[in-house]
Amino acid sequence: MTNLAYRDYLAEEKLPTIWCPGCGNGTVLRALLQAFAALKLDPGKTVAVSGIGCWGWADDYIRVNAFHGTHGRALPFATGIALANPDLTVIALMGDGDGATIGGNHLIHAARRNVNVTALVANNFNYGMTGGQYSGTTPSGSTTSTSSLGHMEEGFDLCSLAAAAGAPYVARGTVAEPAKLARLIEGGLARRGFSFVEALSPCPTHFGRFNGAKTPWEMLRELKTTSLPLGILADREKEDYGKRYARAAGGERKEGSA
Amino acid sequence: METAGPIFASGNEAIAEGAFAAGALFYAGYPITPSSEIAEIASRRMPGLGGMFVQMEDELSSMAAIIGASLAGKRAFTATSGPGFSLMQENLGMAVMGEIPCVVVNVQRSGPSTGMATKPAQGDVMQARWGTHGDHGIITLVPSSVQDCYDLTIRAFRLSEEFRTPVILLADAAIGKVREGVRYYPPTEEEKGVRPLPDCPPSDYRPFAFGGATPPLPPFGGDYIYRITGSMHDERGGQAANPGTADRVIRHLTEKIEGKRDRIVSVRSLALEDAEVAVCSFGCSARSSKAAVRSARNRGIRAGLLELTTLWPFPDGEVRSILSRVKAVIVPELNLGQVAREVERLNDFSCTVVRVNRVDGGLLKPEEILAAIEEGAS
Amino acid sequence: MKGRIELILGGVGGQGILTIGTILGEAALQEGLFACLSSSYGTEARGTFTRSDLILSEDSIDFIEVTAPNVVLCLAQTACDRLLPVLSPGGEILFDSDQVTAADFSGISSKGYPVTSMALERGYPRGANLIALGLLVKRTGAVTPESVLSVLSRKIASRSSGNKEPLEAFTAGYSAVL
Repeated sequence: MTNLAYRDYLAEEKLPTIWCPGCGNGTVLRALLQAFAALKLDPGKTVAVSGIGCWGWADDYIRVNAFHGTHGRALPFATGIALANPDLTVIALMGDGDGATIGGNHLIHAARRNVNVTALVANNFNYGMTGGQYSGTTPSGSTTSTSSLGHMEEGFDLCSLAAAAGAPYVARGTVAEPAKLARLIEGGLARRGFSFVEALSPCPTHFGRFNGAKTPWEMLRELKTTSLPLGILADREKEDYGKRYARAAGGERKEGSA
Repeated sequence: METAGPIFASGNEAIAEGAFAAGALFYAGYPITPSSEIAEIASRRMPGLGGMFVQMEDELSSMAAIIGASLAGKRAFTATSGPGFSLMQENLGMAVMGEIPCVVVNVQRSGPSTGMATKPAQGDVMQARWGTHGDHGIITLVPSSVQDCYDLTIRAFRLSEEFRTPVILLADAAIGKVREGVRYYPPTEEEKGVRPLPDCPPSDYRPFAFGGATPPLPPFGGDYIYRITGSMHDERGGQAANPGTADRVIRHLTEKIEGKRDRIVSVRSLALEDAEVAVCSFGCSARSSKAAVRSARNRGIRAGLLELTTLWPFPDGEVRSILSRVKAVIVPELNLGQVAREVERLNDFSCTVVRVNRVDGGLLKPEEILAAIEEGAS
Repeated sequence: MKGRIELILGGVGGQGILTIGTILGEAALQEGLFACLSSSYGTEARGTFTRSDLILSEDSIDFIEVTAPNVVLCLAQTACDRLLPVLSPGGEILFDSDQVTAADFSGISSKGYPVTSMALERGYPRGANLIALGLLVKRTGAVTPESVLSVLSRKIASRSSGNKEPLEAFTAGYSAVL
């Protein structure tokens, strides 16, 4: 336990961030660090695991243990860390490319397996770092650098997906309401087991520009009126994999020694 | 597990027991023929050892999970075969770049692609070396007996800790499934190796160093707070995609292994002293080669065997030494010349290099090798 | 045993071919011999051809497959069809005469026993492989019956049921060879 303010978790010497003006990632980062501070997380006992993309840089700005892995695999890395040391607080920081697209399979299995990891997906509906190509959450009909005809596919409702896959805690917030977002992340970190938090976040540089040259302000307003449900969408008690394994293994060891 | 006399066990069983003896406490994997026994044994044995087993959704995530577990301080391993090994290449590169110790067992089967699931092959020699992208050093050990499976798995864990790198145990379906006598023993502390802890104050700790000794890797959760990354990085693990750093990092990843080959490379010699024909082989084909060399000797041919129990770093010196003094080097392998090309690369001596290959899912017969020896001797 | 014996054990998946190979191998190790058991198999399904190669030797074993079998055991017709061509000169076919009904053994040393009926008569159909093991041990002298019984006893002791049926089945097979 520590008594740190959110700024104490921020690697200020690394600022400014690489993120574009109007990007929502900075707001998601602050909400995350506020959640750390609210829970008094010990930086030495906390691990941030990130993927690839704009949001994949987030762990570079955080003063906790960090692992910056390959694209889409943040959850399996986090799974290994959390199962090997159940005393750690492990958070997987993913974009919609990581969490919904290249790593979509890991998301549903991590939710089903119920490992003690919090997944925080910053969803900006496209691949911001590489020029604004479409992702698994890009809304149908929208324009991206790889959907010039208008996107042909439907985007995932990630929260419904995670909840259906069995995640005990599922919540969605937006950077338009940052204080609420921080509380949702805090709720996920506080619950043992797999928590899924989606943060809707604008990418004015690509997604905005391709879809009517919206200003960051307009994009924020749109996020506020999103048709996707916001708030806590699942909250249920389930024993996580590590605890269940330890309990079963303990029983077996006892039997074996008798 | 310790056994008084030899027990009758399969190569896969001995690999699993070797891993437990070496202190492995974490297994993540995706079942695949002919390696699944290792996962099954890990699933049964880990609870009693106080370890952890998890079956992941694929080999991408299996490799990722053992990397995560290793960073959290547990000795971790996975086992697979060709198709799964292909999927593991992504995060094998992550382990190389992040300098994370772990052991990857590949019980080779016939390929490419799904190939023939139950048939042995030795076609992943180059995949082990260059399967993940980018320049790097890699350590690959090859067992040719069930006892080797036990011994070399222990060695693989020690090397992975000593060099802070993933180590590949490149077995094959024949050696993984064969049953022979094997003696399990508790390895000494030296055989097991330890992961050293840093002794500097936490504020001075750097997870990376380029050139010189690789720093110790303390487990996540202690006093040392640090960052590991698969992106180009500085000593602190911070993003550093600049030419100077990139050059130092990549040369370091190669040099830390290639420059210490004396500590890694191991070979076995049989009747090479006066040999005029040498057979150079590895894994299951070394067993066929051994039989062929003995038959040749019985027929009065001065044949010998150089068995490569390390494939990477490639035993350049040992292979050069036989190339320089025999008439012919025969290279039997269950592929179309992956090791033979390495032997040819070293052939500055106009020695005749003869390939003996089989890729139909069967083992090389000693007679096939014997015929090549006889031809090489004539 | 002196020297070296090579055996091929053929049958179909589910008959326990690999089991008797393992028992023989363990018995051989107990006698200080070298043993090497390799199997070729298809997909994991019951009822398809399986073959196990077992080499027992006073010296260490190089090549892991059998090249000149002293005895080929066939517990199924399909095994006999496939293994007859690999029989080496001087080798012998030992077969279950209830299962192998159509084979041309002319010019081949062969011996059939009604292994399946023997197992059924004992009310222990699953023990056919152990009866065959008894036949094999008696005819080859590869290991002593005492070694096999000791291995079997150890295996039974590790199970909760602990019945003596396996020992009796082995002994019945061993005694059936005159």
